[in-house]
Amino acid sequence: MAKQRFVLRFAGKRAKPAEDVERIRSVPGATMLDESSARMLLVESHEQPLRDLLESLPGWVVAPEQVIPLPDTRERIERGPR
Amino acid sequence: MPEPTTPAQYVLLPMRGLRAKGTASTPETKEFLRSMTEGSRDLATAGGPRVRVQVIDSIGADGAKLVEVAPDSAAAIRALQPGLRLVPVVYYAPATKARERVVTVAERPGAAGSITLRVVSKTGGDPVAGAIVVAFTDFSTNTGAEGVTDAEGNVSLALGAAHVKLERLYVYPNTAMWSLLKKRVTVSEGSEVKLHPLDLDYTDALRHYYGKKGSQDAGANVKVAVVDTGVDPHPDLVVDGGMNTVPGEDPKDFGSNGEPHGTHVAGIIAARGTPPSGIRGVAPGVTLRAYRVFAQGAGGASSFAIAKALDQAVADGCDLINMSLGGGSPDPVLQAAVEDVRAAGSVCIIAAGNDGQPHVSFPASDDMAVAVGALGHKGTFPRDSTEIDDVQAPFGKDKKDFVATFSNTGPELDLIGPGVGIISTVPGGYAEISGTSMACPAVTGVAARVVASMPTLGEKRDAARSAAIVTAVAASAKDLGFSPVREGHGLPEPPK
Repeated sequence: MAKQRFVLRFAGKRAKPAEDVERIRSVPGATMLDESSARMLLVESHEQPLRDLLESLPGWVVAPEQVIPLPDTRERIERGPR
Repeated sequence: MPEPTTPAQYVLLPMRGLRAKGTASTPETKEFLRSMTEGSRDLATAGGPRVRVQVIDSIGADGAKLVEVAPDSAAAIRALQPGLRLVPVVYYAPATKARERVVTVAERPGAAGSITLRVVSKTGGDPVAGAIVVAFTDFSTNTGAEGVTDAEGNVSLALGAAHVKLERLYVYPNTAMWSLLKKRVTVSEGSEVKLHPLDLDYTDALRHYYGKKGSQDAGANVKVAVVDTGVDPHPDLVVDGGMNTVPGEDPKDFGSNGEPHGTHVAGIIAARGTPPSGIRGVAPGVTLRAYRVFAQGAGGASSFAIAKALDQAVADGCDLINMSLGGGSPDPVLQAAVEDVRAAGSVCIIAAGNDGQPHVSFPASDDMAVAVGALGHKGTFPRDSTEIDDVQAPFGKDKKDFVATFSNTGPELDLIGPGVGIISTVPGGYAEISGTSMACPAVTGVAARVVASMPTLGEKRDAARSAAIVTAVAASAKDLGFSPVREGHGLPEPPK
């Protein structure tokens, strides 16, 4: 399986625990893409080892990163005339 | 009279977890859950008819309830108990592979069979540059050609012949003009298309419902976040500050990413101009903050950037967070971020989506969001503008009111706002755009005025504060005569 980008969010009022962040950083093959948020991380990783680790780290929510397109109501052409 | 709807099953549960424990739930929420024992009961709602709730099962006295209610009562129950989530019961099916689709590539513009059209202003004949022209030879199969006008107003369309009968011709200018829709029109080389210039004193749908020249102080002392494509400097706008949360980009660059969307949204809420030289938003007195989540250029918005923007808006003390965005599948991270906003005393107001579907898109569909659909009013746009496509039955108590064809509807909908042919600020000028993206900031503007009128609203930023805001905004809404799945509580009205 190819690597994916995952968003990790630490639930709770306090900031993400530094020791958790270090353990996530050490997941084999994982790359930390953004850790600027107080509660979140953006990580590129294989899914299974990341989820395996998070099972032992309470309070984290994880989901593949989604990219939402800009909304509009314009009509569009899907095919050219024959 | 709206038709009654068949009851559906929902799970009624606390904001966090399955049981109302700790500080995440108010005493009122806990008491309400304990009162919901198995059986049928009629609940009194604020200013509306009683709604029937059948409690089928329960996870403990203060835990989640499996209930059966009419979908058109969902909004009323959420307003009655804003500290609870009401989530439709989901039944999962085996995943199947999507069917492949064939898309034919259009002919190259400029090749034999191309036609050059010229787009000009109806007043003075000046060329209109940068307009998107979409020409359908067969509308039902989305067949035709499209392009963008150059500095001379010309666009070359690969339509395959020298004279072509078009089923529909759409023109979307990027500034200063109304859009145009022509049906059953024959075009040939050099055909001219004329657009109506925008008049900033025109009564569009926003001004029809909320007026053109409200007080400059409306919404004062309320802090509003626009989570969008960024907000550009504009003579009618004052941006207090903000942040760009797109990974890898400059956090200080919260101006436009090249798209006008966020600047348009900001103007609907907070523009401070005066017609006819400028435009005024619904709550020009608010403190406006911009959070850019769409990447530079035509990039999309990452769920990470959106969640980070919500956290930052809360940290910056924003009372209301406007999110004219959505789509994709429900995302637990974004869901948690929206819930955290509510727990911190603020409220996310989110566009229902423009798919014309009978369900609200995510994240507006989240129970902790205020979901907004789009309303139009006949006579508030030119008859030959693309907005004529948005008109559909049924009509409201006022026979000129309609729910826009593109507006997603469903039991998750909370409110409706004007979103058809809305004139607002864009980088370098003004433009009219339609969408639930425009209805959402109209409602955010009214919500800001409601919040400004709540002197008893607690300073303590907690779930009770956000629940009080949601309840007050819902209570301000006027029933326009559509069913609740089409209008939620209705159109919110600012305090007198």
